[in-house]
Amino acid sequence: MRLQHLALVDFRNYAAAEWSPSPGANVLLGSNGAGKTNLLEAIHLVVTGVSPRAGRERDLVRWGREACSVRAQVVRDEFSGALDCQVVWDRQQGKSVRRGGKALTGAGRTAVLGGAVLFSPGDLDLVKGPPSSRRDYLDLAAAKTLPRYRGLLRRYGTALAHRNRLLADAASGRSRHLSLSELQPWTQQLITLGGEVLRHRLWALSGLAAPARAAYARLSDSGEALTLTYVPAAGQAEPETAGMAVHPANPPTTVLPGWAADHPPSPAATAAHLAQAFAERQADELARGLTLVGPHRDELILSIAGAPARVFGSQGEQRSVALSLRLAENVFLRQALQDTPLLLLDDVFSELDARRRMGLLGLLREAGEGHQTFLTGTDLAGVPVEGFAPMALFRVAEGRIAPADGH
Amino acid sequence: MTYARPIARLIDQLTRLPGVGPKTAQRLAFHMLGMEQSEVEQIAKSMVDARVSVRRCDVCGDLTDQRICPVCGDPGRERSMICVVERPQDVAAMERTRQYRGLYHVLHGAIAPLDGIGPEQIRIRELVARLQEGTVREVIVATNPDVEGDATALFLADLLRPLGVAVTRLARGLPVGGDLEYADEVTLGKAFEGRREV
Ligand SMILES: Nc1ncnc2c1ncn2[C@@H]1O[C@H](COP(=O)(O)OP(=O)(O)OP(=O)(O)O)[C@@H](O)[C@H]1O
Ligand SMILES: [Mg+2]
Ligand SMILES: [Zn+2]
Repeated sequence: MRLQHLALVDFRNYAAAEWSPSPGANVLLGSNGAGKTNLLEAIHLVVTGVSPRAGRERDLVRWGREACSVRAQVVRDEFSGALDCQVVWDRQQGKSVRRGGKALTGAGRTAVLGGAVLFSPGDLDLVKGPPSSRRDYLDLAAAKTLPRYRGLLRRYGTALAHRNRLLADAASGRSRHLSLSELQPWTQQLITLGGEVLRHRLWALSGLAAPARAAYARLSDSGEALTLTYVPAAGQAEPETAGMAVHPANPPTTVLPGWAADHPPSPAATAAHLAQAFAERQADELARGLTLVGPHRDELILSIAGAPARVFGSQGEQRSVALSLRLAENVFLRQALQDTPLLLLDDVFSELDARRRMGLLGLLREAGEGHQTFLTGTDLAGVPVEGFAPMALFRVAEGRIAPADGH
Repeated sequence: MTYARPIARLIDQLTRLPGVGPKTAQRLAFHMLGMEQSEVEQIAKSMVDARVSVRRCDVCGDLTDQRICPVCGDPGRERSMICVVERPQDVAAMERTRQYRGLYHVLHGAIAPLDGIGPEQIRIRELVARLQEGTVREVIVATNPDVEGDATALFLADLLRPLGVAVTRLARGLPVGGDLEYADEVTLGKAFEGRREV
């Protein structure tokens, strides 16, 4: 995948901007708040179909405007010409996607254009943040290979909200006694939809775990191994405590008893697992007025030599883990999409020590030739120029992207 | 800019309609002011007429200007099947397929706890009453393919199966998350053929 041309209209701080990046490495320099991160976000959105930042997509529209548009000419392989792609976000009508001038509808809407991976300073949250940041990581990886997944998550979220309302009203005495026949249809839907969410997450995890481990081995100096373990909230313990319960001497190896990490379970297996968990926790759920079972409470535990990195990792180790997760995403997307994803490196090098800089550069280079790369920084000091020659320099200022001369 | 009282009131009233914002309301209002008075009177009269004369069919709940709607009153319809839909518009969509010859039941909603809608708030009790007669063999649940429609279908399946009727659900192939009303006739026809036990 290669981006030839980009045109933004009313996208975040850009009123109207056009840009033709170079096919190799592009360095975007600009002061704080100039719009560098916004530009990478636009690229990610038009290529993958989803924004890399969780949060409300209506925020993409420039303040005071009704709709925004990101339009790109992309080249998917050397044999075909440039394809015209456009994502429009309208405050009234929501999102629409056009390819080659035609609006995508129905099944066509789920066709993936290509891959892009965003490395950002905020990635440290993948390690240090709450369980939801790690769930978001898996969800984003799944959504980029299967856009339909976003719709599935939305349906799951709606069914969950309905069910929680029933449980909460009953627990607080706001409604008359809750009949189980009223709860059952929602439980049934959470089992079906939640089982699908679980399956897709585990499928993504099976493609991410090995490359993450390999990247970490290269980035860290200790020779310790990084393990990704998916822990469903199904059991008796809460996800937080389940994370803590992983004792350093006792590293978890499988996702769930009987489920090998490289072999995602069948729909029947995830559904059966959830059905049993709901049966076990029913009394708790009724007492607490809350849905306690399902993928919205699951945890992805990142452990180094068996100890959860969130709790025990040093700053440097945590940073290496975060980088490893993004590098793994690149490998996963390349494999799943049969495409060289765009690499979007948002101000990542300035925070790394020399060793990790070298390690990341080496890994990016090995990740394969042909990746079009986009790097941002406030000045060249934060960008490892040596690793990306030849590269094209651009300056971002006042809502424009313009070529910058030399150093 | 302030409008004369009657214009402001008209705009205000029009914004009460779904999908009509202040801008559209303004456009409609000024359009009406440019129309012949008789034309405007016709529009106003049909609105009031429709509201006054249209009621729910005593049997199926579809909208009609009689006590019993034409479908329920048609001796040629298959009486062993009831197709359950959320809204009157869905009956019209089904009828356009010309494939279904059974009866209907309009729930006027779907189960949605977030909106305070439980089984008692939609016409489920009336459906159960219709089944007591014993002539109905199959209930086809054609609620929307969103989570609320699915929950309603699952609830009905649990409730009705013990009564000895088969409960089927239209096969997917309908645009997911989309409304039945907008499904084209061919898709809807296919969905009927492929209906399954819930
Ligand atoms: N919807 C929007 N409409 C208008 N402006 C917006 C919108 N969303 C964000 N912005 C503005 O965009 C600017 C930030 O852009 P961005 O985060 O891309 O900066 P940056 O160049 O990456 O800065 P830094 O070097 O600090 O990371 C902010 O000043 C913010 O106010
Ligand atoms: Mg930034
Ligand atoms: Zn009727």
